[in-house]
Amino acid sequence: METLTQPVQNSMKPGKWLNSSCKMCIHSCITRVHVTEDGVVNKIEGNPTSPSNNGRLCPKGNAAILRHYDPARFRTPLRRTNPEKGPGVDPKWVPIGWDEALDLVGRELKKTLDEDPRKLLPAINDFQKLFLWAWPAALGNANYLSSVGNFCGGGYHPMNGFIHSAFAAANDVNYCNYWINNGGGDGFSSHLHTAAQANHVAKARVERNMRVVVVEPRLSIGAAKANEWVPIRPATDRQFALGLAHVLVAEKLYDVKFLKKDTNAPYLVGPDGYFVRNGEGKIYVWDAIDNCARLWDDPEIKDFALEGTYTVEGKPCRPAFQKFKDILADCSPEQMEALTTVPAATTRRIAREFAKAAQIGSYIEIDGRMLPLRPAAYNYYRGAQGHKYSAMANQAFKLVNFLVGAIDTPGGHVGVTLDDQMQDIRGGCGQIQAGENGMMQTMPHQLHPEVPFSWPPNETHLMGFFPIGVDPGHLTQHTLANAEKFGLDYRPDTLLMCHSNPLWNLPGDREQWYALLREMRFIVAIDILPNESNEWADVILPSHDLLESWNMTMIEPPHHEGMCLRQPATPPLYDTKSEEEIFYEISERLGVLETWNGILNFVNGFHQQPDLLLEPNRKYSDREIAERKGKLWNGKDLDWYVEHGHAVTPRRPDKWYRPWDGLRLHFYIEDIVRARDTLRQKMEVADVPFRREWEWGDYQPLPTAVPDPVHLEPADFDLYAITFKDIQINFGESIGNPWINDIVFKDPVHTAVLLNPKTARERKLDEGDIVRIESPYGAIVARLALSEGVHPDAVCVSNALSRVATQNTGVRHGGGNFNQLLPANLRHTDACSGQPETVAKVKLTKLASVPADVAAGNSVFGRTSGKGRAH
Amino acid sequence: MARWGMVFDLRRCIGCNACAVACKQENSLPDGVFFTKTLSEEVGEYPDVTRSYVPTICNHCEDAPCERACPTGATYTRPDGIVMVDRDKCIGCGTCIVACPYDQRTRLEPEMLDKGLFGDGRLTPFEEQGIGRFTVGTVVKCTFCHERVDAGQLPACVATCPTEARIFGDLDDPTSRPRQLILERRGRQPLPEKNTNPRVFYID
Amino acid sequence: MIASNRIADGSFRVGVGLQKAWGVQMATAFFFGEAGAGLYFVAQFFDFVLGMTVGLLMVLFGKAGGHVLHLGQPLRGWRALTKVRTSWVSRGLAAIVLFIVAGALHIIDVRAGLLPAGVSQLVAALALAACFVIMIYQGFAMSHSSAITLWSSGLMPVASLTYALLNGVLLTLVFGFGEPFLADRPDTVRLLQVLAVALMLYGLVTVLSLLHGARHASEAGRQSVALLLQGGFARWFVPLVIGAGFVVSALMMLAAPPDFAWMLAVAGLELTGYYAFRVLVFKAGGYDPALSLAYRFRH
Repeated sequence: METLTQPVQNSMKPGKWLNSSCKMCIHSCITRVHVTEDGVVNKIEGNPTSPSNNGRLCPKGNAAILRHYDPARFRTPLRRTNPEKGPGVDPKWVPIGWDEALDLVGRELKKTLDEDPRKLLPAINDFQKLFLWAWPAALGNANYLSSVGNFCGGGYHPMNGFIHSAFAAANDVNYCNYWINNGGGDGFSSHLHTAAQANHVAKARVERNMRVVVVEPRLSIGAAKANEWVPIRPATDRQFALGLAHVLVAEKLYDVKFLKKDTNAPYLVGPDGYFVRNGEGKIYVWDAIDNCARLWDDPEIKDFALEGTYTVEGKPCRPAFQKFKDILADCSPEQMEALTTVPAATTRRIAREFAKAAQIGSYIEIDGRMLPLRPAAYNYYRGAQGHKYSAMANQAFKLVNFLVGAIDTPGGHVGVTLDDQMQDIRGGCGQIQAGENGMMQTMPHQLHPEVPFSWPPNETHLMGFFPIGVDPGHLTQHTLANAEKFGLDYRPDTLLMCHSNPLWNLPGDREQWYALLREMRFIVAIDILPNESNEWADVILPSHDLLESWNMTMIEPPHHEGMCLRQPATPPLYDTKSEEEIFYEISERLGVLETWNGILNFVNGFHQQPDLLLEPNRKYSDREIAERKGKLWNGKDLDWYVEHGHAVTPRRPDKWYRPWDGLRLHFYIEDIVRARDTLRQKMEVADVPFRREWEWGDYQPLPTAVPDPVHLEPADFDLYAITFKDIQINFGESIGNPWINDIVFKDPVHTAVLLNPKTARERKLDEGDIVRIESPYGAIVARLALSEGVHPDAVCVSNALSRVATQNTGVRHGGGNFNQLLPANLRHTDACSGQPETVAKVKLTKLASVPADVAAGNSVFGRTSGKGRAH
Repeated sequence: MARWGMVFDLRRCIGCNACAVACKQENSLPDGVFFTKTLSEEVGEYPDVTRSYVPTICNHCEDAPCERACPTGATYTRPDGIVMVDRDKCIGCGTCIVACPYDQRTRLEPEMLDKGLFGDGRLTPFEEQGIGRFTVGTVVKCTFCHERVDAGQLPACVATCPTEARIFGDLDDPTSRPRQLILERRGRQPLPEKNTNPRVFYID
Repeated sequence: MIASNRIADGSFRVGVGLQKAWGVQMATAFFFGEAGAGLYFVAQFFDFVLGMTVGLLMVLFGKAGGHVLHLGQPLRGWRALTKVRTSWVSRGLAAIVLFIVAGALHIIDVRAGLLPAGVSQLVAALALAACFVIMIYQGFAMSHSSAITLWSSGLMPVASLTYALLNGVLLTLVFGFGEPFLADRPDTVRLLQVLAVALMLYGLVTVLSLLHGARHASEAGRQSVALLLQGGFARWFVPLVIGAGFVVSALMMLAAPPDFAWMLAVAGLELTGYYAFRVLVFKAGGYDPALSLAYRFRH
């Protein structure tokens, strides 16, 4: 019998449970944290009262303790003593006090701002304290050195803003019966509240027999769990969607009523791409019964024509639907197969199954409201949309949902808000606004207000040239390398990073990024653990981790809404501060405290409730900000949240389903055409020299099947490299955490680069071979693993192999960063959305051995995993 | 007296190994030790290929070969069916390890305990508060989180599983969820030919 | 290839896991157990004191000592005596203790004639019986493990006994060479030589049958045998266990003149093969995957 009387299991030991929430990825699953009587955090679990994650946590959430106690954590402010900077170069940190560090940062930033505020490149990436992103605005700076667009969805977020007036989107798991997942991990491996989504999707799959079809080049987790995996050639997802749309339209499997009543599909489009309007700006439609043009809101309309060619106000015109139908004439599954490799018969079958599952014409009553029931939806994410023609790709996927009427409807594809409190600029709940001509107001800007056009450009990443896009942070490499051409009349010399790792997330040539960082006069990083980027810093300002700080948020929850509390489980282990405190201290030193408080009031929504307003010249703690955010949500103070942990409930059906009822959705996005022409005019007026090279073809009101330029690379680059993450490394840095390392580096898909065996045989390559993977833009080294779960044209690189953080010895080096295979230029950037191409054409060359510089140190090529020694 | 058992729903499992990590944090497992892990298996040929995820754990066998093989009586079965190892009796001969058909036992080697989770020879406060339950040289394995179960809670892996692929309960109770699932979806035991009568069932 | 490489080797793949619990230390202890007990067993028939003594010392230091080195908690080793009812390891340890005591008494008795006749015979019988248990129990301990197909064959105790007898015969020929019980009786030498060859043939068939059975018993068995005959261990297993241990040593023994060098050479070859057998059969022992879907699909 056990002789121990004290419990041995951590959650059973004497101690207390605290309510909190997770921050091991950008989302915020609700947790409870067990702390021993000695004040040691020894167990973190999902909070069983959470209707979202249902008491569940993903592996990352389960590994938070080891981030907290990671010996590599920054323990005090640090100052660099090694003047030499470079990848893997030891900064030779020396500890300094907070006063000295903040004074130093304040002095250096002041110097920069005095010279030219634009010389500061901020990279602020904390998704759970989104208000921090707005800090550079206090300096009048809109630069941004990071690649959120590359990480998730440059085209995705604006398109959600166009279609749903929301930040993200999800399939409605409550009713969906036919779930197409294209290049995204929702419900299986990644993206929105992973543990929560996996929970709800598994229930739908198993308890309701929801059918899952996964379209991807690689047999992902989702594909493995799906009823059907449809392997597809990388960067052809849009063409697959258009093939589906072709079948839906050709076989009349679409929701006529929805298109006529709830969208602008009947609006007549003129030859210039704009709707045909009368003198007062009202848009015409065609009455199919009376066979005449009428204004869209004419009560005499008997039936909206969706098809046909007409002449109105002297202009030849067609309904928007007809325009799409014209495009689809060249998008038959057979034509698309040549690009996608998906057999036409498969596309046709899926289209028919999808339409049948959508139950067009059916209704469901929810909370006394009759709603169209469309239990079939097409979901997608980064892999499917991360291409040059990203806006078109995004719209193509949305249009598949449009055709069967499955937008924002039970069982369909539904908009997801980023943070329900940020009403004015963040796509919050109360965000739906009426636009012109009966249409919903589009909201392509979900992260910050539009950055005004400027020439010479104020922003090195040309944000002013992307009026409807997400920050293309990668373009800074391109513009600084061609500063004269891009009219840059200044060179940035200061970098401020906050929970950001641009050297990891940015595409483009590493040497050029290194050169850019070497140019920096001063780099400051606010962070927790050493990474690829902060090893270049001159000063490190160490922040609390998720077990030491206060916060209140609920980021991007698909099926729920509310606020989750984060509270300290232990006092700070080290001499660290909250981000709030750090930015307040810097703001004070720069003399922008008042401005910063004004911005905070705005972005947090405190201006909606005057008693919550921050006073102009005070500094607030993380606790005070969190308390205000909680109060704004439900009027409860922090004690209430400490007791209850969260105020999360299922999304209210009136906000979740068709919150735009009575308005028309944008089947045809005229705003894209308008944005193009407005930008073109501004560039003409400013006489921007590269205006003729600008990728004007990227702005399309409806998607076409034109292949992305990645397919046009020289023929000897004969394979497509893609990168992927699974649930263990979803979103931010995970590698280096011993528990994550433990499960990732034992998983065969994360320890080597995956190639189809047939492809390997054709190239005389074999399992275990060391290969150089070379694109026209860069190269990495990898060990090969052969897998039948890979499209024959694809080379699949786990993101676990893309880390090179030398100062954090727990992080095992891969053979280089996948992102260096990608170009960081205009040609491969969607001018419409800012999204860079995320697929690289590559060729493989067998190497005799692992190059010495790659194999050195703590490399994935070194150790092999194993269990215990034999005796 | 309940007879505890577990069902793995292979349709639900997504192979994320949250179970493995939850177990590590609940039980302060040293580096290289797993009480549960989820394996993957690629089956078929492109394009007719899939990957299955197979959770594995100590099956707390009704007829436990580890218990029979143990020369000291360190391995024993509690009245509720949980197979335990008494660390004060275990001599670390490894006989139970080679007797367990499911490869679910690990002997604690000095380096597992000494080098720490971060491999630098220093233990974090988390490890220090947990390491005391382990004796070097003895054999450890899953205990179905016996203390949590005694307190009426679910094992840590079950509680955290995002997809609810692990269903825990009393196999003697005809109304229990695992029992119903075993009947409804024809649960099968791993390696039945080994005649161990596992208290863990797989359904798919 | 991820799909076709069935040895999981510590990765999170469904496949055959190689056992790592018993390795070279255990193999060495097993080696000394069956070499020492075998020598003692044969030597006792001839009242060959040196042989018995060496055999006993091999069991005491090589076998018992090797086990103590292997244990994670050696100071508690005595606890292994407590489960004789179900555990072969426990039974083996009891046999070792009994054998050391009875064997030592018997050796002293043979030299000094201390014990009264009845007791002397009882001690001799006890020593021989315990010795016999040591010669076979390792096989039972392994075959008892249904977990590892390569080991779980009923032929494993037979292999143990065959090897132990063979080791005993050869070591007797070496240590007894020139001793009167052999030097004066060439027919006995001839008999032992023939016995050795017969045991080698028997052993060869036993080992091949073991492999044959394992190969067709389960996936782990198939992988284990593949490792021994074609895979990473084949370059040791085939030349040492099969070649040196049985084939070459049998041929040499058939041709051997009554010469010490020949006896030594044959014993050396055979024992090398036997040691390799012990080490490699441990190393190649593998667990079947708890649940595999692979064979529902075409491979």
